[in-house]
Amino acid sequence: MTSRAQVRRLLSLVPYLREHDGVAMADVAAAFGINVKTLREDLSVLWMCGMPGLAPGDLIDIDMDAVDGEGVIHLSNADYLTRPLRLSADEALALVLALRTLRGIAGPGKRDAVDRALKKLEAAAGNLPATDQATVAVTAARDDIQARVNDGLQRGKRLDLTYDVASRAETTRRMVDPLRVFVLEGYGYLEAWCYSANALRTFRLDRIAAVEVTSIDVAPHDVQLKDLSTGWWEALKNAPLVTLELEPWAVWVAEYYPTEAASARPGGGLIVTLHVTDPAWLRSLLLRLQGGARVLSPEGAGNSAAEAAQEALEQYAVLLGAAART
Amino acid sequence: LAIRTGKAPALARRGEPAVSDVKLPAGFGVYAVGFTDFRSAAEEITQHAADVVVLEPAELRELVVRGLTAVVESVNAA
Repeated sequence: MTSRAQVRRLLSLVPYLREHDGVAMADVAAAFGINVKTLREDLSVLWMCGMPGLAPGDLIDIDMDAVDGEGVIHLSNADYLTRPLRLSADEALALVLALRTLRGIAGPGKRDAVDRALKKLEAAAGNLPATDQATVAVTAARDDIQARVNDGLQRGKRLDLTYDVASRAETTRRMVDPLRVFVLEGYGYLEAWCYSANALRTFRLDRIAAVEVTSIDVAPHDVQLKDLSTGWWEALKNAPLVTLELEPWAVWVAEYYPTEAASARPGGGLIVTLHVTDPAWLRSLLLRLQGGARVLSPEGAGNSAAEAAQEALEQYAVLLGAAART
Repeated sequence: LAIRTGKAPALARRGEPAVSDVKLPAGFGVYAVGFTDFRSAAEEITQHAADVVVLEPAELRELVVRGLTAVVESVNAA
């Protein structure tokens, strides 16, 4: 448990305990997803918090006899926390955008709670116009799929996932242990331990075709989740580099995908170098560009695209004969 | 389009089952799939190589065949 996590929890505990006077320790622990021992430690810290001066009358008051005796919490002398929240325009906008982003992956059962929080926040923001100045668009899963993914994640249950793999353009079925759901660059993702790959994998939520929550508990996995604070770039930086020569009409590739380097080509077009984690992705891109990209390095990186294209041409010739020849 | 079973899910899910007189190998299903224009259709279809076959219209099939040929030529020229 980090001190940051505890502080975040303490800030939420105070208004919660003010609203639920006499609540049982076990109920509070369950509501905050912690054990009773951790809650008791939190109360010990909270007991020493208050207004500047920290004289007895300045401190938050908790009936510790009731905590240790009956196992219930009575909190008082925290009235300053009922003062209305005043947000600056930037603070209001940041919070509202974060909540709207969360709404994109919340699933139908949780959206009401997010909507209620948004309403309170928008009311607290008062007449600040900032919250209308930006919108959030998150591409996530269908509602029923989102609900099941979130359910599996919250209850720690293995998922039976039917997933469309974009780079290989095929549908796969696999068992995964869900570890987290996040939003990055407008798309929702599930990060999970995949039993087919026997490794950590990231699944784009809108590519999950179907999912069932099993009764199997998630196993413990000694893994390091990706640091995505700088976007996908950090996750890509160790992948092999490929250099492509792009025709003028294919330069959108350099705008759409992160590139390590890009330089203008005489006569138009670009030469770009980018990281490629999956050779199947490169093959798909070369096919899609229909001759608009030439692989400069490494040697042979374009061969699988050429082989796939040749196989397709031979299939057209067999199936459709003269009609297929241009 | 003739789409190999389990492949090109984005196309298959968008399409409606259809029929064709073309004799297809086992493992392909026929779908009627809508596109806004031939150019974007060819771009999307070509990336699936032999997993997707354009049955009709002929104009789209020609575009795809031309695109596949360009891929072979560009790799061989490198």
